[in-house]
Amino acid sequence: MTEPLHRSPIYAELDRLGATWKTASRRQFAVHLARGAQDKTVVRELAICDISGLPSWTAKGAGAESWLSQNQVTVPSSIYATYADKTNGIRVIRTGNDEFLVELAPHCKPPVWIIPPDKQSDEFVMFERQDSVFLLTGRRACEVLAQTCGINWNEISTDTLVMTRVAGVNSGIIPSFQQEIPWFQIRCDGTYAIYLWGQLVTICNELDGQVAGTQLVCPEWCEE
Amino acid sequence: MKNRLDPRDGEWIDRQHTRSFRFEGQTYTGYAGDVLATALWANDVRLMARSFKYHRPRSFYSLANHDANFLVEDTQRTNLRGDILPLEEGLDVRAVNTWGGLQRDWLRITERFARFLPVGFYYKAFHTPRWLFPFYENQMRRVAGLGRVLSGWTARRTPKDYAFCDVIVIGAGPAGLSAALTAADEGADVLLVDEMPHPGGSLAWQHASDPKAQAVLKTMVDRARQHNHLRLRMATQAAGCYADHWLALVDAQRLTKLRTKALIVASGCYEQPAVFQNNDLPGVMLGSAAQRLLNLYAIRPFQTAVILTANAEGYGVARDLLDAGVEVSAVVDLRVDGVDVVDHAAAATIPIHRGEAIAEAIPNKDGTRVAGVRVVPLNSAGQLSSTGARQIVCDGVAVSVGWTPCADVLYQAGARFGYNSGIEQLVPTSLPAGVIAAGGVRGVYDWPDEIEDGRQAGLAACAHLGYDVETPSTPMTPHDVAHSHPYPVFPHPGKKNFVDFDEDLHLADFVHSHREGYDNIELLKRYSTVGMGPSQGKLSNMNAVRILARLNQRSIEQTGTTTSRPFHQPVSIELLAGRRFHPERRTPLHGWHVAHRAQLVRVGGGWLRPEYYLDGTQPREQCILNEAVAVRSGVGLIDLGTLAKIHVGGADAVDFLNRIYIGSFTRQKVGTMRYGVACDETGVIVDDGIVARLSNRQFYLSATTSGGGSFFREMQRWAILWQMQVDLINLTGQYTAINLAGPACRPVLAALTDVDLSAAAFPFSGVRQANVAGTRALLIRVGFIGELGYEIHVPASQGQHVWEALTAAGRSANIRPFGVEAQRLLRLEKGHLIVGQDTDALTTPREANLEPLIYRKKRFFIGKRSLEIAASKPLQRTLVGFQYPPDSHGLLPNECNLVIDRGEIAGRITSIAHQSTIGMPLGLAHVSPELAAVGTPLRVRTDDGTMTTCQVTETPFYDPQGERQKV
Repeated sequence: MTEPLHRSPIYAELDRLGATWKTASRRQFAVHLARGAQDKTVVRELAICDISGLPSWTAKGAGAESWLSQNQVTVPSSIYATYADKTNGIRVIRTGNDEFLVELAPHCKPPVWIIPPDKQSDEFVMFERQDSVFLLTGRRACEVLAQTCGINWNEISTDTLVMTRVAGVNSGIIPSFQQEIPWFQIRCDGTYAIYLWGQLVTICNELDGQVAGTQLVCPEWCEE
Repeated sequence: MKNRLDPRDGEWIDRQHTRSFRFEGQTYTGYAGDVLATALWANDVRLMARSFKYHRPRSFYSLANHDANFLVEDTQRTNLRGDILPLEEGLDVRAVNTWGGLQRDWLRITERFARFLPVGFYYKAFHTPRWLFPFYENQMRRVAGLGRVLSGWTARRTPKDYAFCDVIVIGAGPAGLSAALTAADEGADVLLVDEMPHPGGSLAWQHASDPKAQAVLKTMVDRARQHNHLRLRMATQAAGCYADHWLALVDAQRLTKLRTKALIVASGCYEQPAVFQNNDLPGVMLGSAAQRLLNLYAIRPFQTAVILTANAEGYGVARDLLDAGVEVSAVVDLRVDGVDVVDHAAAATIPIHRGEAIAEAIPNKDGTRVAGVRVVPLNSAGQLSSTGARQIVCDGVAVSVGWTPCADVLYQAGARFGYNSGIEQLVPTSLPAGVIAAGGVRGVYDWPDEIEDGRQAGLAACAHLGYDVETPSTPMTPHDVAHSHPYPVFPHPGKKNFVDFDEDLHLADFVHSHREGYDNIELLKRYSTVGMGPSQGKLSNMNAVRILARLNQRSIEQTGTTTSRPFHQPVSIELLAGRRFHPERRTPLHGWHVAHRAQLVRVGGGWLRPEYYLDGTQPREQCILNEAVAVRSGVGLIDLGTLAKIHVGGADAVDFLNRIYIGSFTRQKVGTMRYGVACDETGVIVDDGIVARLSNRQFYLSATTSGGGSFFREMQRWAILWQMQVDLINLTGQYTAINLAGPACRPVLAALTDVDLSAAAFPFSGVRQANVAGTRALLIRVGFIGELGYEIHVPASQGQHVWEALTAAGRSANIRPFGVEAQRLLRLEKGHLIVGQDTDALTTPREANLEPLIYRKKRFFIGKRSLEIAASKPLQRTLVGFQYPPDSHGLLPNECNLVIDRGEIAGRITSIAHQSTIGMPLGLAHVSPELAAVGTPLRVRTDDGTMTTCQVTETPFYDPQGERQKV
């Protein structure tokens, strides 16, 4: 039997919005939503997009850093810092002394350093993450976060992981700017995904924001 | 709109947009920008409300949200304040607390019994006989009070947000605007808030006729609106201040939790009433209210006015009224030697009565309007003389006798105040770091001085932020001119001289309270309830302090003030509730369960999981039993996604687990599972689960659904404390788990995996990495429910795929999903306990019959010392199984029902199943050790008090040898 596709924890919610699905790296993305945003300008104002299909791994243990370094993966030196290598589509976030979160752009090839569950070393453990990951973009994105968590984003460096609670759910947020547009990646435990997505979409809608497919937010992921 | 004047510069109304509204069933018209009170006043409506206790006629008093005289309700909202309620098209409201309508209000009869209703009457009169108290309470609540609790109310989910700034300035008057602009000019991120819908404060209503003041106001407001570093938030109250410069900002839509680095309070003052007979009649109002009516809403307050004053502001009111064409019959000045002059040509014609007071406002025929005042000279003691009274006809009284600082936020921020007898006002004497007062709140009254004071406050805030600014070496000091009268209180035998309008407290109530021994301001407040109404004493506290000081013959300083606590304005519960975030967790199979008629139950940890699946039209109990029977006789599967799943790895992983659990894992073989029980330091069971060894240094654990989160946090805490080389990962959301169980489950799983499932190759307690339906999985042979079973742990996103593959593979074996209730029944039949249900906050392993699991040779594990001490003492209780005869259905106890022995509590039921697959009711109970022997009858009291008898039974009830789970 072939390995099944990775489905977003909010697959059903997106399907109800008329999602058009695209598969990359065994993972599904809602690239377009028939009952979502149709115009790219919404990304500049306020949009929320599910990117739970973003492949990511945790490597944790005494040998994790050396394993990644041996495989030419550069890791940041301080906790909560990120390092993005755009040439191979990898972003590494240091989440602890011996703990790393590695994200891979879905259009990139799976790297060689991934260790399957049955080949784990005693020095560290590596597993593919199953989180929910949402992107909140646009001029009014801070207003959505202001209603859901107590962080002063003006005092946070971009591309730094912030561990906080969003609408009561433990989450990791990475703020950044993409072409001068505020851009927040929100990662949470997938078991909270339906609840958190519902809360964020409600607030976005009240602020005239819309749900968007990845075609509008991350078009490079959707190229054939 | 009979009283509406011609357009005025600076008015807040929009004459282009009229608003039609209804009040007490009558239709009126106002303008956009009006509030309900002003629109009614413009239509010459004076009677707007009835008072709390005596149902006296009332109207607004401050027109600034400082009193709660005018409360209304509609079908959705209650206790709305008419003096700030924006006039919207179609608004339809009525006064609260009336019976038969505002005009008739049959409850006004209570005033006739006023002499029987002194302060605290309910403490003395209505507590005996005790059984009648609910009746009294009910009647009093109907007669006295505020708005009704509206049962037809529709919940509104309001936003609640966080905000941040460098400097918040509270109050957008001259001092606040100046402070905000100064700080913003220095580059600080400034938030300026004001409870009024427009900035300007006293410049807008008190100095409207001063062209210079208006020019300055316009310049400042224009600058503020355009400033990049300055945000204005109008119609917003700073309703509370908390530690670390947290403030609660409240507007009509939301509550904002604001964190600031520096706080400037430029909130000005509350104008204070004078206490004289009938000082609450519609038509008696503060001078500032009359000026607001005139200058902000272009409404003539009165036709003929009398002004009671003790300061320059009263003469300003006279000037504004004259300009508006109001006839000012008299200015009654409490001072003999007041130095103020009326700087207006027409004012020369106004009779000024120096050294006199208004003893009484005289009502019209139906008692709903002012028809005149009785003016009496004051004697040398400042009290009313017995001679020389005269009557003056008027239809309104403007009172300008003093001010008290709007200091609530300052008090809450930790400021200390002292009484400045030079200006007869409380002023801040010490302020915490980063908290600055400016303007009227610290006794600075002249507007140019307030602007300078604000500027200095802005610089002080910037200095606190670390900016390189030059702060003035000599800060602004208030002029030594009193704007407040030291005792504007005039006794009257009629006893309708009100001190607190909210609670209908008059002067005699204070005298009586004092006479009864309530001579401390805090005690007086509690007994008399002064300042405890909706306006929180804004117009009553200062006069109460003055009255008590005089009764005690002590100074204001010695008398002190009451404590200000957040919120100093009522905040609606819907704003406090906000959106009501209650996180819910769903397993990856949630959608499947819903589609297959699962009845969901919310369990610990916020999880939603299937309680059982609807089976045709069968009742709940039968559905559960059917599911259990299906597992016992064939194959079933249950979603275990809610179980906590934890990875433990690292060089010290084994030692760490040996410390965490009471058992030992040193000799556990790779590829096997053990049952783990964890205690806290007191030896109480806190969690349990399986511990699967994946390699020498890697373990995979499960923990309880409801306690797993806190168990994981405890593990993290211990790992740090012990400084062990151990890696902990909470995998609860990363993996999901399915338990495939029943005598027919092996071939179902075998169809989907390449692992040899035979008992010899994969025995009970075995752990295998496997491929199941194309997915990498961890298989664990378990026996929680007493049948052959496999826990299948797979990445969360692939859970539904594996579940569906299992149901498809088991179709020929009539595979059936089962919910948490069937699982509880099946494990109960095996006598397995559930931590948190069959244990409580005191249960030790010994009491739960888990003592054999303790590995005593270990040097240390959490709770070891406590368990050793407990072992040396007699056992207090023990967990036993019990059964009822098969025909006892219908007379059975429930969980938590008590075991009674010789009239005493001797235990309690922890788990019970009224139906079981073995045909009789059974359960577990904590009982005294003397009742624990097999065969002992237990007397159990049911919910309705009936006593039932069951018998202590050996456990497990089902398959005592455990053969079925080991096949």
